Amino acid sequence: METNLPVDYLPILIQFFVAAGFVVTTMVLTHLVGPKRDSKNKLESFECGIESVGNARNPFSIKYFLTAILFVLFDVEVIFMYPWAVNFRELGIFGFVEMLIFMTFLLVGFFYVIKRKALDWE
Amino acid sequence: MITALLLFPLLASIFLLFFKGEIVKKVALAAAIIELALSVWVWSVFCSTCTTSKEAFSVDIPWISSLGVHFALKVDGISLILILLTNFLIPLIILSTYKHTYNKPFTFYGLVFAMQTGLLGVFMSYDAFLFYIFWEVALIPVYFISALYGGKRRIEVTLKFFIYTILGSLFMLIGIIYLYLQTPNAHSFSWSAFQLLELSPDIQGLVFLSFFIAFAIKMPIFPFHTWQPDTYTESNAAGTMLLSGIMLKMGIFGVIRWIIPILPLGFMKWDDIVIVLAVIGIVYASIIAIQQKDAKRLVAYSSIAHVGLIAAGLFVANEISLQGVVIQMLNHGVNVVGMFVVLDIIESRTKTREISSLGGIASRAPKLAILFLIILLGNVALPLTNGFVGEFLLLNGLFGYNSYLAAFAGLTIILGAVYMLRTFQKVMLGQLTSTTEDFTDLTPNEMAVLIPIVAVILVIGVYPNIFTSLSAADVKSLVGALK
Amino acid sequence: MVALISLSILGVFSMIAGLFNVNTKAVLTISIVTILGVLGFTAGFHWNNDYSRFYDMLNFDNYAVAFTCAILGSTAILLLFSEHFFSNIKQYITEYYSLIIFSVVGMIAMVAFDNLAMLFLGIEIMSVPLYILVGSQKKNLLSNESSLKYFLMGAFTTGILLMGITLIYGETGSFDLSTIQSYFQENATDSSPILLVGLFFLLAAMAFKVSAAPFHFWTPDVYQGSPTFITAFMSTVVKIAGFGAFFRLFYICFAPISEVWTTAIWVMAALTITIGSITAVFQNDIKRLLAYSSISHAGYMLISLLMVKNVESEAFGAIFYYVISYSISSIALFSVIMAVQKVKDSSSIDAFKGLAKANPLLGIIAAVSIASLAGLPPTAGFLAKFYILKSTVESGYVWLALIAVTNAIIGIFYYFKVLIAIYFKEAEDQSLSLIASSLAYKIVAVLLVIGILVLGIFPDLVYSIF
Repeated sequence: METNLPVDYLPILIQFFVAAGFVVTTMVLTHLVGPKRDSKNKLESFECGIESVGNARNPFSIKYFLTAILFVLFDVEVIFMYPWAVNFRELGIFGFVEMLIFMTFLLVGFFYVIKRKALDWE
Repeated sequence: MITALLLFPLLASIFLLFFKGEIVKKVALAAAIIELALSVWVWSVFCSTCTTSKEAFSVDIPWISSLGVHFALKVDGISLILILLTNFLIPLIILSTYKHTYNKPFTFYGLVFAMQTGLLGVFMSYDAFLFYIFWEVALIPVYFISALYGGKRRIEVTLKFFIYTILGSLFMLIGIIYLYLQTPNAHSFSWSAFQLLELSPDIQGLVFLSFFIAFAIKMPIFPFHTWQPDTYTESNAAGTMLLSGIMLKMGIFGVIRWIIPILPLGFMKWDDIVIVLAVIGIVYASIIAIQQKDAKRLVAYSSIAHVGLIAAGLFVANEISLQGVVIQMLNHGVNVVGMFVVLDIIESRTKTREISSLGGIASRAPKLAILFLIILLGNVALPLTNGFVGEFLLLNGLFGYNSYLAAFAGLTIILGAVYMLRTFQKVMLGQLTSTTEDFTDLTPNEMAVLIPIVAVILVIGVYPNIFTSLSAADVKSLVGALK
Repeated sequence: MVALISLSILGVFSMIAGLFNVNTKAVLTISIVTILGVLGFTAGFHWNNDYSRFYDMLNFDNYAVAFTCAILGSTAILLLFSEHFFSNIKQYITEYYSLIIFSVVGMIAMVAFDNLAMLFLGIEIMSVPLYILVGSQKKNLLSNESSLKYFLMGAFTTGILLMGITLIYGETGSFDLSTIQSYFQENATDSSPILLVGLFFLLAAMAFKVSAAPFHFWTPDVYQGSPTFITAFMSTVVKIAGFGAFFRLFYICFAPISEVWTTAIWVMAALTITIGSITAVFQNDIKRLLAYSSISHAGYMLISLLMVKNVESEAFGAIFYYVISYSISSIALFSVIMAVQKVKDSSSIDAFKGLAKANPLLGIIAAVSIASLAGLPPTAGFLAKFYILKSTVESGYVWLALIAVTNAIIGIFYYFKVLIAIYFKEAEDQSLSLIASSLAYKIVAVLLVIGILVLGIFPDLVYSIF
């Protein structure tokens, strides 16, 4: 019997509540029951076991942001190529031209970024 | 023909932009006189065709087809009288401004002509949409005239005036839209389509209110008059003359053309209340006028009293009183402008309007004194002046409605005589004061302004038939509409 | 479609032009000529043309063509007035051109969308360049603040819009406008919570874009903080596009279930008009004042959405006429503000004292545009309000008409505050007489004034095109 009523999803809802309830209950319980011994070492931020040096909130060069965001940008564009590659045969020459246009615009952007010296470190 | 009459001032106002300096005054006067000549010509044609067809006096051209708006004009006897009044007063007002110098005179005179177009349009239009447009077009220039040139508090005062009148007219706009939507499909704004509507008395009463607020503010009827004394006092002489002489007739004319024939049931529903308000206004304004120290303010309040009488006659709406309304509109326009011209002459020489600091001018300026006296007597409705004819008809009509109210309203003549004659006595007679010692008599220019006014006062006083015959037929049909 | 492609290429071109130090005047000229060419092509080719659908994604019907032309025309006129804005910016001038052009590309997608995905894309393509343009005065704190505010709120709205689209998809099973419409026609009484929430989200997102109350809070800050040129761009072109999309989405697509949302629009319109005009009275900064007045105008335009029962061409005519008249009047007024800001570094109303005496031409332009914005005859603004009022009374919303009229009077009051400063107050210094306007400026501004008057006298030129 295949129906699509919201009632059919009730088990999932119950499971969701059970899961959430378990997490909340155990967290609250350990918090209340468990012993607390705070020390300097325990409260420090964990750095792979190495002793931490200085403050984490240091200002650093804006260039990191720029590079990072440009990386994300071009990285994400590549995602579009996967579905295109999968459907390459079906889309045929039309798809190929479309992708060429897309890449051209992308490269124009890349060209612009380089020319504006956004990637130069000095 | 009447389109030319309507559009000529607009052309004149654009034409004036090409002139600089003092010559503007001469060009403006010439244009105004040409316009006057045009309207006299229309008058003569109108009279000669009185009995035959009147087709020459209506125009109907489709304008905005999506709304069914027509550029429809029509001149009947009543509107012709107001057109004549407007075109008679404008040259005089322009002439009376000759002694003032205005910064950028072409702006000033251009605005005067723009306003004249608006006024003529209001008196002619036969399409409610067109009427509304001209109603506003007349208002904007006079706002600029009064706010650009005038007393110290003019900016706030004129803004109050502007907002107040716009408030009224926007309610009228809703009324117009309502009537428009009631007309049969392919709606129309035309007067005749509105007249054919058969609305229930309740609806008519509501639409009446929306129109009436606009007209009452413009007239102004008590208690909508609060903008008026301040505005008259603070604006410059020409602005005051335009406002009092011509502009307030827009309200009265609006009732005659747009309320009585179209909303007769609504009219009859409210007329008693309006008459009582008008009579209260008469007495109230007269009493306040007596106490005024500023001559211009005094004339402003006396104008409220006179207009109150006209309004009372208008809402009594029998044949005699309506005839009185028409003739008194003309008289009031001429008389009040005459008063303001005299006050302007006195003020420009003595730099004051305080009645108490003036005195004995008659001994220095006998010509002014005589002309002033005639204008003043016209104002207090002495027999043989125009005021007598109008007020007699109005009171006679009011008497037919309710004798007590008529007696009460008749106080306006007595109270008017009190404050007017007292003003004359204080200003013209008595001892010379320090401000009036060097008073000089009228220049030829000023004579040219005052003599036509005085002539009209006397001519109408002796032979009012010239004008009453023009409007008699229209008044009859108005009364018929209310039956 | 040609419009989208050629403008995208134009945008890339002017971006690259910046790299090679091409003369900015030349880029400006090329941009304006291209925009006008595209305008001519769109009007000439797509008007009354059946071959205007593109894969059910875009549909250049007459409605879309009219709004596209309005957007392109307003942009071209604004670019002509852009000289002052760009003279203050030393670098990346052509990049700003390209941002404006990209934003316009998004707007065209917004008014021509035939699929909710295109609506979303259009709004995003329009908004992202705007976030940058608003903050284009890098050293100005107010500009930075407004950019951040606009971006944060805009980002939230994007989320809400997307959620709304998703819910509508969940209910109707399609992104396609005609499919959605026919679904609603068959299920006209559908009032499932999913649909209601989806409609509400879409309404909120669109109301944010056109700054209708209660989603208007960003408007005054952003309008005040942005460079004046961008304020002008946002309050005219962006507004046209926003209403184009709003109207297309609700009036055309959601018309079958109008009972569900007309009450909401009624309340929003009344609130928007009232809040906008009452708050505007207390402003002393002209850009802030115009921001509130634009909120109030948005309220009037919202009323046109209530005309679902009227003839379609009347409703189209009313909204399009309002948009056009508001846009040209605002552009004319903003051109005066930009001219004054050349010599004065202030946008308070006091800075405009004595302008009419110092420069009569600017005075007349300001007077006519203010009269039009305030809705006084015989200008275009009067008839715009008239059409709206007429349809309001016609549809039976008499109370809304009364609210609109009352606010029109308040509107006259605050607009006249500016007019009084320009005409009746004495200037405090002589700087206003130093304004030197180029001949091109004078010609365009005078044409705008004539346009306002001609539209006011012959409204059928625009009203009856549909």
